[in-house]
Amino acid sequence: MRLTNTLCAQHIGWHFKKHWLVQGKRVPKETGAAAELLKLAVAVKSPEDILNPRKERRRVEVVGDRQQAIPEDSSHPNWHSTVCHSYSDSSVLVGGLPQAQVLTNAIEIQTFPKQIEDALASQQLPNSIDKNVRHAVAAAHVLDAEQVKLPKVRLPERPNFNLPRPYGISHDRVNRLLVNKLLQEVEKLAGRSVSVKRKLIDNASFKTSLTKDGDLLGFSVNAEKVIFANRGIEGIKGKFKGNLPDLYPMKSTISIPKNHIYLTDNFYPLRTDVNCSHPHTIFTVFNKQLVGNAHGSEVTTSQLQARTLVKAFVVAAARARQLHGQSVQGALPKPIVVQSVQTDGQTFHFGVLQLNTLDVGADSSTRNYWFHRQTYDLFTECKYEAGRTHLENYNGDVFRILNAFYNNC
Amino acid sequence: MLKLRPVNQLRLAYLRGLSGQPQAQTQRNDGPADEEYTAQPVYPEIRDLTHKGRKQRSAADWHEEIRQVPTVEEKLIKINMPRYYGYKVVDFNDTKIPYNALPIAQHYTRTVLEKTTPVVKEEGAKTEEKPVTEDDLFKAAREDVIEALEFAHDYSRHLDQQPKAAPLDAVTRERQLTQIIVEQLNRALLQVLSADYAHLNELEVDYNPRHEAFWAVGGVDPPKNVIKSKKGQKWQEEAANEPVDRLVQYTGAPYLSLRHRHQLAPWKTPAESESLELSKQIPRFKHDARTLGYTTKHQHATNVPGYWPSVNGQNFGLLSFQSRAHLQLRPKSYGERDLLEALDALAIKSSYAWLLAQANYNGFNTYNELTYPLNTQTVITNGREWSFYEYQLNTLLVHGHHVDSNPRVNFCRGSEPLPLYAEISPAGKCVDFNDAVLRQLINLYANVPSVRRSQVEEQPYVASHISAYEKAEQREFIGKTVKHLASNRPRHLELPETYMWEKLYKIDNNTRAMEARRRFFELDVNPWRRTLDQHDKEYVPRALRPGAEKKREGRRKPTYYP
Repeated sequence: MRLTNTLCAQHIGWHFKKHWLVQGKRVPKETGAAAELLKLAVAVKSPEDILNPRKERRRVEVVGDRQQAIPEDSSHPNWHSTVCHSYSDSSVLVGGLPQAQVLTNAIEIQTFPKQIEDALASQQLPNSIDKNVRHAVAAAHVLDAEQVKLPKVRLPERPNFNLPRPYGISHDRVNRLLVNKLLQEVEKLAGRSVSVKRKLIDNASFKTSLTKDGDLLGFSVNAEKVIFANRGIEGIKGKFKGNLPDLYPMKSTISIPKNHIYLTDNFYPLRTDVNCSHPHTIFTVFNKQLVGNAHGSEVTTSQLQARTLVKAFVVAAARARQLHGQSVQGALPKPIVVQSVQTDGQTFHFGVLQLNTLDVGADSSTRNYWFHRQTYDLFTECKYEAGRTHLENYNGDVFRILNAFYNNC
Repeated sequence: MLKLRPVNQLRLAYLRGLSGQPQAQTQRNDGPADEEYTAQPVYPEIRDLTHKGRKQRSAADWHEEIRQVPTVEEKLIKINMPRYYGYKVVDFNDTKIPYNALPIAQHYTRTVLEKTTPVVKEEGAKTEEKPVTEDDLFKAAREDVIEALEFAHDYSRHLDQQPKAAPLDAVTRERQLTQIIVEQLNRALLQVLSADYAHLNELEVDYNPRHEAFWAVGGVDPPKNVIKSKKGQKWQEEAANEPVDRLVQYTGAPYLSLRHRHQLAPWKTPAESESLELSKQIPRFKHDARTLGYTTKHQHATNVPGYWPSVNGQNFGLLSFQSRAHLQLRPKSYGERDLLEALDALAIKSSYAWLLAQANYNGFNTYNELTYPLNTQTVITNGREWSFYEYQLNTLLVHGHHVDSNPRVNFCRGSEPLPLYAEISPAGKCVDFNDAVLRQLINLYANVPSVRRSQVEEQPYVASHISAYEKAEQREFIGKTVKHLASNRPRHLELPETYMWEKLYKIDNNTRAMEARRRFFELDVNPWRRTLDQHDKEYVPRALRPGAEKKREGRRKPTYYP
């Protein structure tokens, strides 16, 4: 029998080591000698001071290969004493759509504006279009040959399993390709007469800030694709009445991170004198790896819809500020309409925001309008098997709504 | 040497037997079974039994085996079968073009380069055909393109002003701006031209696609260790300096590429493409590619034209927009002429690689010759400077003796870079717009892919499709293996390696004689010769086996390597 196991069961060496550690840090007992000497006005020095006297070192500014990080405290140039609620791409409004409505002072109308509803009802599409769209979906989701490391897959019932790391098309790329290809199909149908009045750009940033009931709100968002038009979308005719939801006991700024370091500037990615500078439609990508609730729970449909609304609001507000100056407050001379689409490659949420006023306070007399319908699934499953693509439960409505949105003016 | 002697005797006896055969036949000719004999003796083919001949024959047999493999996906796997750890390849990519890169690009792709100025000629031809509509079209295109350019620049300027925008290096900045310009221009031109050119409605647009291609090149000087080892063997001494094959892997990502269901019409006839004289004029770069600054790496052979094989897809390239951003990193001392040569080299490399990858999806590969030419058009641009190239792929055989004996050559013709505009003024207006460049760009879009072939003619070496296989397990295996090979993901286990201490204490000096011999060099195993199928097959848990009673049956998943 091997004795090692038994002998090592109590490893005394470890105890000796710990003992040394403790003994090495032993504090000398206070004998009172130093106090006695001080009484006699004799200077007491430790042997360290005599053997290794402290040398004053001069601080040298080293020119490094990178800029030194600015400490994020009150010495920061952008430090403000008032706190700012900074909404960014990764923020989620915990209260969902009601919170977003209160935040943006928008009343919800659960249908699209009349012109879009009419266009949806009356549009005539060629028979081949669904085939093309199916191909576009497959081309974006499975046929593209990019192979990058994808996020880890975990089995909820076996969280300790290390599955082989999947390689494939990144989430960003799937959405970029999908939106590009769908828009290409839309533009083919629309023809040059419409598409010449539109311009597309990728990854546009928008920034603005507002004061709501004494709270400072900063918004800085990114739209993965933006359609600009040469004319702004006409304001929606008709009066819409409604009340903002009551969030009590929640405050409307809840779950938006607070920050002392911020800029209150306005940013819109194009100059006003460019031919196509009016915001028309924005596309936002929802990536659940990057956007999530603070405590890790899944983003709900209502929270997702809130994101569509807030993004549209930021674009419209940034445009309003750019047109009417930084100091513009209250009702706008001409409402700004922005269409907003959010997708994660499979689910689509469409909405239209009409920005009537920049006053988002609770007692504002005018309200903004938020038209939207429920979310749509473009398909339930898209896979590549044995050299062929399979698309299950394809939903043609998504493309039809997108087409109506694009042609809306 | 002693061992060789009986073999020689045998061979002599065999040869004697061969020479005696006809005599025996004539003696027996008056026998009853006349049909077995012919008036003229039919000899079996005389086989080259030298070492070199046998090597060539076994290689040819392997190439024939690849040709016989029924599906495209299996062919892609088949090329990878000999090497478990992948091939050692020269890393050709679109981001590095060293000094004096043109000869190697021409040699490795067997390309004849023609410098042309097709602007004037084609412009004249076009205007004669349909002067009025063409002119209107051009005016509209000009307007749209200028607007798109101004818009792109305006947007790009705002990108720089973005909050938190980190300063970009010159290459990234150029790539970003050019990506915007190319996408805007492509959109503008498609809009303007698609009414008159119906083929533009059927295009498949790839954004930053993945282009990869693998091929073998012959006619390169052997490396020192090969020469040395051959010189050590008396019977191989003469062959010591014979050229060896090098494997090349191209990796690139253009800004944009356009594909169509049909092929572009070739601009060289088969007669023009087959000329041994012309092939002799192609420069030969005999040195190792590493002497120029290329590197080598180990990886599986991948052939990807931007998408996965799909039935009835847009399988033929029309146009690709390549980046020249990295050319900024070349020292100025390389000179003006070398810059122009670098552009040519980039065009040749990228066009050849893309076409080769397309050819792979039609069942051809570097060992199986094309049966019809493939064409594409390539644009290299930085937004302002535009160079236009056309490429015709006639042959894929560059390996082994084909580098000397193959009469077919590929053609590339192109122009020097021309500015599309002089500058964008501070007010955002386009100054000195160059109509000639736009005309040339429009010509590329207006080039109608008109060649249609039947399925058999298009894919003569493809006999089947994996969806036709009955076993679901087999279909899944092939699909999975192709993607696994193409991903070239890092290996889970470390690569085999002889550590330095092992070289000293185990190989050079036998200092550890008592130790068990477990390492590959002690067992006389060359780990680099391990083939793709030499691995433990996947285990099937007992609960999932169909015949669960028998313990040994179906423990491992079957593999379906071609």
